Amino acid sequence: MLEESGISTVVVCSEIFREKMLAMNLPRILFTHTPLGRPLGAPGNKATQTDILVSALELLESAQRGGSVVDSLASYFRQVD
Amino acid sequence: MNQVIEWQTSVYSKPGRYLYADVPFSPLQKPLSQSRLALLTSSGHFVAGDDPNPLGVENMTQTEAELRISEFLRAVPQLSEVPIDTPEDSLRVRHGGYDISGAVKDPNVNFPITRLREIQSNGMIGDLFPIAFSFVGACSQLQLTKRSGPAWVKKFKSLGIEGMILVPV
Repeated sequence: MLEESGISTVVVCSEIFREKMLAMNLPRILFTHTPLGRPLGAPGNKATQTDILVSALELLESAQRGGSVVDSLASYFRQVD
Repeated sequence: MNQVIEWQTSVYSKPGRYLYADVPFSPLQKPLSQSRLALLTSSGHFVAGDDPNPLGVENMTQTEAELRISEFLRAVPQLSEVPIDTPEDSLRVRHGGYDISGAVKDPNVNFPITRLREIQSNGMIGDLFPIAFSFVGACSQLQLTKRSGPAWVKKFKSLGIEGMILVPV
């Protein structure tokens, strides 16, 4: 509906829903290695949340065709230096 | 955590009952740095004091939402509007279909308004729409696709929104 109206969209979604989301033929999807309810990462993990959003925005801008799927490499947990 | 994700994947990978048509593709017409973008989530967030009062109930608790999930699944979805600069301690979340403890601790796990504001301040987004939108995804899918969804799309278009980050939960 959104895409039909001319609004470009990107879905950020936990990979636990991969099969269902792929069946929907969505324009752009960023899958994240995260559990249910936390598709942007763990509470307090600002770095991962930011990385995921930046990747989603880059996909929104760069995708050339519908069905563009990217798997985020961001880690759910905070990286310990 | 990998085991948790694997188990949840096995639960949600059972075949669905729906068939989907091919979906149109609209390329973003301008660079991100010049585009008006908005956030829409199905996480069930709202601003304190602006409770959508689902099922006609004032101040419904999370526990009640979980117990009444079957009623939510037949209900018309309600779209909450959250100013993008809402302080995190003024956000509330309620959704009977998932464990909200992560979202209570940190809304950015699925309603990332703080992270988006930061990204905008770094110049990546041209115009972050001043309202973020959220609803409880556990709702009547028929109402969502046939009535509420089309009305929301009209609204977003009228607001000049050019791109949306969608976070289904």
